Amino acid sequence: MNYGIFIAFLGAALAIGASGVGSARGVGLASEAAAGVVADDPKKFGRLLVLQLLPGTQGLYGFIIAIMVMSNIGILGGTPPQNIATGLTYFAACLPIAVGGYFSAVSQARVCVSGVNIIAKKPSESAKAIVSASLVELYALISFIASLLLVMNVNKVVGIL
Amino acid sequence: MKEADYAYASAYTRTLENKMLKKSDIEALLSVSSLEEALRILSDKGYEYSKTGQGIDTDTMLKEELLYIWKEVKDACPKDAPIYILLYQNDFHNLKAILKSVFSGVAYESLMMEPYTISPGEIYHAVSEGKIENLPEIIREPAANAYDILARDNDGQLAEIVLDKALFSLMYKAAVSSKNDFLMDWVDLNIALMNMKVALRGAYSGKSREFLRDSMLQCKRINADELANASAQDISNLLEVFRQSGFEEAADAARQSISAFEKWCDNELIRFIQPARYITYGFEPVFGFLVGKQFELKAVRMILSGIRSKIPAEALRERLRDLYV
Repeated sequence: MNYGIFIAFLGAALAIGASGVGSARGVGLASEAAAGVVADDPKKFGRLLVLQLLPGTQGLYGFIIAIMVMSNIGILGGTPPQNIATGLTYFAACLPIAVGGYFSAVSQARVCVSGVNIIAKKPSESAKAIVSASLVELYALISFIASLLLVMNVNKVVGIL
Repeated sequence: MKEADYAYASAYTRTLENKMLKKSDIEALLSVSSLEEALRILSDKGYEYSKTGQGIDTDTMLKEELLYIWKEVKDACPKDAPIYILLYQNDFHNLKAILKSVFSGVAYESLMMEPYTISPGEIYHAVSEGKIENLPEIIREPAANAYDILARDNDGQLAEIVLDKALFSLMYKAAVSSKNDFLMDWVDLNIALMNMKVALRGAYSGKSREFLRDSMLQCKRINADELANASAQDISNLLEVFRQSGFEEAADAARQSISAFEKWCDNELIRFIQPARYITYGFEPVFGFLVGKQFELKAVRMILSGIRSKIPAEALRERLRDLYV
């Protein structure tokens, strides 16, 4: 029985699942806070929208990694992993966006809620609130690029193994 | 109680905080020469008032502002939010006023504080008919004790102390069940301040150590036994206990006058809640806003009645407490 494909499949599921849960929590929290401000002043919705969306990017990154893995392991294309080691390599390649995506989305949500509070008090400072939230995005991006490079180079690792 | 449950309520109270009076607004209010001018400033900050045949009813304006704020915050908070702890103070105030009314025959309606958790009408019917057992559980026992004291000895001061003690015990139990450290600490501070007030008044009126100790509750900030002992001796011993417990400013204020000490107590409560403004989200900023708003309304009431009575701005400024924002 070839467990390789199962383990690789698990990695893809984790990449999209963990980052998706993080993003769902993040967007939910930021949107809830934004709704509190919009309830009093609906004109601020436009400024708040960016802060609501920012924690959602991690889920998108996880989705791209999962699609890439599935394109390589014979589900959407490519060839199925021939052994457990290849499956584990795909699994390892998914970990950066799964872990980094989840935690960065949750942390980013806190910064976004702080940004919502800034906009509630000083709407003219909304750019500063967005820049602050974008700082956390850097680490989500690093996780995404790490997973991307790892998935793209799985065959090289398998060759060495 | 999860802090994320308050994301909406916290953000909403930030928007309401924007409309709170700042130091500059208070200074503007103190500099006006007429009530109409003061009301114009308040109107710009969202206070709504209407002119009646008898002039402008500022008491109704302040009451409606408080009720509006409470409704907004209550609707924004999760259902089990322990903000109702603040309403217990109004319930007990109403109970005290109704007990006094029943025993002295004066009208109680105008003395009632809103919002509340127990309707004043319900309290009045139970107390006036002597059916204390019909009262809700949270005030039943203290109401029965206070009723007995008034019926037996007509000792209003003792009845008031019994009710104050019961109120803070109830608030502490509610704070503990909420499992919120900020709230527990806030109630602890209130108990410490109550003990210090009892001790200071006791020192001036020469109350016995036992009476003082029975009037106090144990708290973390200041030892109730030490306070009662020192208060029963003399005022300088009491002020020394204040200092040793880290309340140097309280000792200085108490040396000046009781009103200076009471102002210090109120400012201490404001200083305690002010850091809640910098908490991103959670119960704390919501609770801090509610307490801060109550202090703001007290300040406005003081200024408006000062303008009516033509009290000089300097005298009013001295009496005013710090603000939340």
